[in-house]
Amino acid sequence: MKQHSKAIRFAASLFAVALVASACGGSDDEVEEAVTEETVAEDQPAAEPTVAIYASEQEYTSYNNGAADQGLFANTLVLNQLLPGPFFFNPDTTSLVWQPVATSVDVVTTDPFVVNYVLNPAAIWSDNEAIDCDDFVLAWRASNGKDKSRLDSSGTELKDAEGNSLAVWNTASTTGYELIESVTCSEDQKTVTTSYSKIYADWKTLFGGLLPAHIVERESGVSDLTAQLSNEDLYKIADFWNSGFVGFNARTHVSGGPYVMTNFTAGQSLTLERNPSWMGEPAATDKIVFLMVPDATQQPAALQNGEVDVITPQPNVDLIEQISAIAGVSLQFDSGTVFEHYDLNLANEHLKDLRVRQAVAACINREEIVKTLYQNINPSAQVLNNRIFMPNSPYYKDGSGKFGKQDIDLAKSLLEEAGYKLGSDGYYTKGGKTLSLRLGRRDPNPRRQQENELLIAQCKQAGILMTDDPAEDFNSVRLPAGDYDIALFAWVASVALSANNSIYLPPTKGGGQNWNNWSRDEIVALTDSADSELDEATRADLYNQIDQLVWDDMVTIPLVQWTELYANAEKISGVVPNSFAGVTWNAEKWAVTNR
Amino acid sequence: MIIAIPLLFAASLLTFFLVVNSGDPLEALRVKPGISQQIIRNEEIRLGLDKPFVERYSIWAGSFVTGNMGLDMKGRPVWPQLWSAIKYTMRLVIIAELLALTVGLMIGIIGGVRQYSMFDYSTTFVSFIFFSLPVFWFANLLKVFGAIRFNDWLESPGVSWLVAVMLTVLIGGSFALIGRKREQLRLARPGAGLKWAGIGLSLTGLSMASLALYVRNREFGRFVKTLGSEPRILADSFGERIWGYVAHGLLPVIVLFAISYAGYSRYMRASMLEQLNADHVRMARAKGLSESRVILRHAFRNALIPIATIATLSWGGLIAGAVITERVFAWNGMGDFFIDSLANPSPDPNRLLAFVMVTAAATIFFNIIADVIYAFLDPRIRAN
Repeated sequence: MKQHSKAIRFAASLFAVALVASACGGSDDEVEEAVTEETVAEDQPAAEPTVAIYASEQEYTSYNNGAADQGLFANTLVLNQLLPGPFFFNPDTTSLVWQPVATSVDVVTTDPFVVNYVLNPAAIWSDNEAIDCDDFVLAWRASNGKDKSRLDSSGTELKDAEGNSLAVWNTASTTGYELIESVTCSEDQKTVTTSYSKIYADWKTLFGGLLPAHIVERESGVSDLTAQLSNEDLYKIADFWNSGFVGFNARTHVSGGPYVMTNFTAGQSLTLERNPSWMGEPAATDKIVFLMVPDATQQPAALQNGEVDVITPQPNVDLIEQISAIAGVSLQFDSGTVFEHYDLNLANEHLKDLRVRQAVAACINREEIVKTLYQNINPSAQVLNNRIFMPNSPYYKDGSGKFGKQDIDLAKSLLEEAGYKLGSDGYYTKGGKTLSLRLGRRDPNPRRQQENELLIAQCKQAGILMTDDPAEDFNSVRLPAGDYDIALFAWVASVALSANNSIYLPPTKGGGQNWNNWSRDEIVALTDSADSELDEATRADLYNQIDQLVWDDMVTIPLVQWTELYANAEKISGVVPNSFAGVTWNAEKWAVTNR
Repeated sequence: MIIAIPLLFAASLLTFFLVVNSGDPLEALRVKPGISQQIIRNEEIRLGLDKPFVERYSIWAGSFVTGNMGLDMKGRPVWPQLWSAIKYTMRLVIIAELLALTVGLMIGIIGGVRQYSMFDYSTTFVSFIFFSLPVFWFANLLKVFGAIRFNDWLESPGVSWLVAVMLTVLIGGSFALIGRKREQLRLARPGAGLKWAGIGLSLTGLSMASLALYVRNREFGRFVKTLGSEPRILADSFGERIWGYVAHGLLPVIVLFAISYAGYSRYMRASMLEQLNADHVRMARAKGLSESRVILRHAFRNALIPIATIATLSWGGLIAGAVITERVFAWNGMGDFFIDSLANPSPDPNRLLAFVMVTAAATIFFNIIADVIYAFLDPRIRAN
């Protein structure tokens, strides 16, 4: 027994020591440590770099976002901070000359339309080569669509095995650049003169995200790409432009923005560091890290654990609850540029009658849809009443008129006026045919399914029979083929207003995405005069007239903007939503406050 | 060996057929405003979407046999991405599987030898818990308790009196139980557990004290990470690098270990039991061989034969990635590579084909390894 009591006493005393040591958490020691830390801090100023970490869901792939196979929003998020351009766009789409790059930009004459860019004499790339005229020439050459197909040395067209001609540039879009007839450089290369074949009102959106032309010249072995080029040299340049900017290489991926890319580990992370050559105000934080977190549901935990500082996941109710519960995190909602809408197909035997289309517009209760499916995420989500301007724009105008709210009586009287009779089953018929419409949508998409279910119930009250019509290939096959009665999908609003033209112009006159078989010649005249109008307010008015025409003919019914979510640790200040350019649009102003 | 070639061919053909018939790679481009038909047509030609199936397949196969896996839809070469995914998966899988195999086999052997003992019951219980854990849920639970809460604790370490008392009771109690049992076996002396409780408590006390002192003098920050396979900014010193890898690897390794360990220990136990009841073991005992020799040479060795099949097959499968674990922990391995190729934004034939080829080859390779292992283990093959 003696032995036992000894052992127990020994154990108890040891245990007591352990508990005292761990439980008291060392309150006295903390003071000591703090003192030593302070003295260290005085001796040598904090060397630890400040870092802001953004959780990216999609991976950066390429520096050249203008190439058809490389264009990605994930790239935009990175390139916002790297590639220079003459204009800086604010979240509300207003713009100003980006002073570190260009000192002044002027429209010299309107007929012919000539724009003059005077570049900042001090503007340089991070390898200390000047940002100058050749960068503009490269952008124009790559996107003007003039080099149709590749020729061999004897001047005949090269073909692949199937007899397809080979494109020179793999450009995503030639809009705007195709109107530029020449880009000329001044002697000192710092003044760029662009002349257009006709006025292009969205000219400010051109030449954003310039690629370094001197790199293209060096890597392709062509000495001067602003000169007249032989086909051989042209193809060398195009080859590098098409594929040379994929991934990351410190030698070629130089920066003309506030940050410079210093590391890219595929699948892991991408690091931007402050660009020492940047001509503007130095970026507030030393490093911005893009950390790959492909599964958005894992982002809140990482935010809580301090592994990431800024996240922008697609919002849903669970995610928002989870983020709201984290201490020290601020949450912002923004109504984005992507908006849902219903498209009515005029080729349909019922919908070809304007009164039937209006009846559909009258029976839909958009407020209920927004309230049920969108306000649970973002309480300030609102019904959208314009297809061209989003509510944060100063030019937003509600053209819905009497169709802004659900009106069952109006729907019914419109149908009766159109010769429909209410049948015993509660649905209208005409000539023995029930007014029955399919609601096409992409499958699977639970939210759109719910949207359709609500619409079906709403329009049943007005005697219109609707059925959900999901298809996996709806967006890619059936939509472009016009195989639908009513389609539910989303468009992306653009800073360049003329990007909308292909949706609303008649199909035969440039309306490549007008799948509703809607054709109003007024639209041609209106877009023509709008796109040659340089005064912003007048132009916006013309575009609002186009939107009004769509309301009048009730071809599409806008529903609501998709909500965007921005969450950041409170130690990072300056995170401002921007759904056009993405959250990193002002990353150079993000500041790490404490720690 | 020769069968590998038609096997790979069939796998690639089937995969190619499935991939080209699932989804439109240009969907995102088609619904973007301001994209002309010509550009969409150019992309179709570039990706070969306009060509018939057989031709597309032969183009792919032609470049694959010459060692070229081609470019993905986003214009990036496939092989470097796949190679990096393989490396990350191997790092995770090798550590977790080796641990699981070692621990699983050991527990399986003891469970088999001491069937229906306290140890057997408790390990069986734990194995079944691990076996039935939904990976996704377990991983997220680990993130909350193993990373976030644990890091909170590390930032201001301390143990509340309640927890301390509970720990004391728990650890002291279990030591007392074990001790009692051992003493009883020999002497059947009542109250013998006390000494053992004392030893248990002093050991716990010592380790907690040293841990407390260690923790208090160190800056851990938020040590355990919930995401990624390596530190985002690699440290310069070797020691810090290793710590970085540990911090990132800890949770996913625990998850994979728990799942695999459960399987191995159960199979090993069953296999061990079968051998221990076999005639040759009875024979060995009858010859008067020592118990350790009977267990290790005669039972264990033969019990390993079915385990070799299971383990090699499971290793082959693990090269394909632990999809859920990798996804949850943003571990850029094969599983993540596969998901990304499948739906970002649409199935990517070159990536998926490369993935299938590598995993199929790995499965075949590990089957060969299994054959080699049989040759070492199976006395019948050895005799030949």
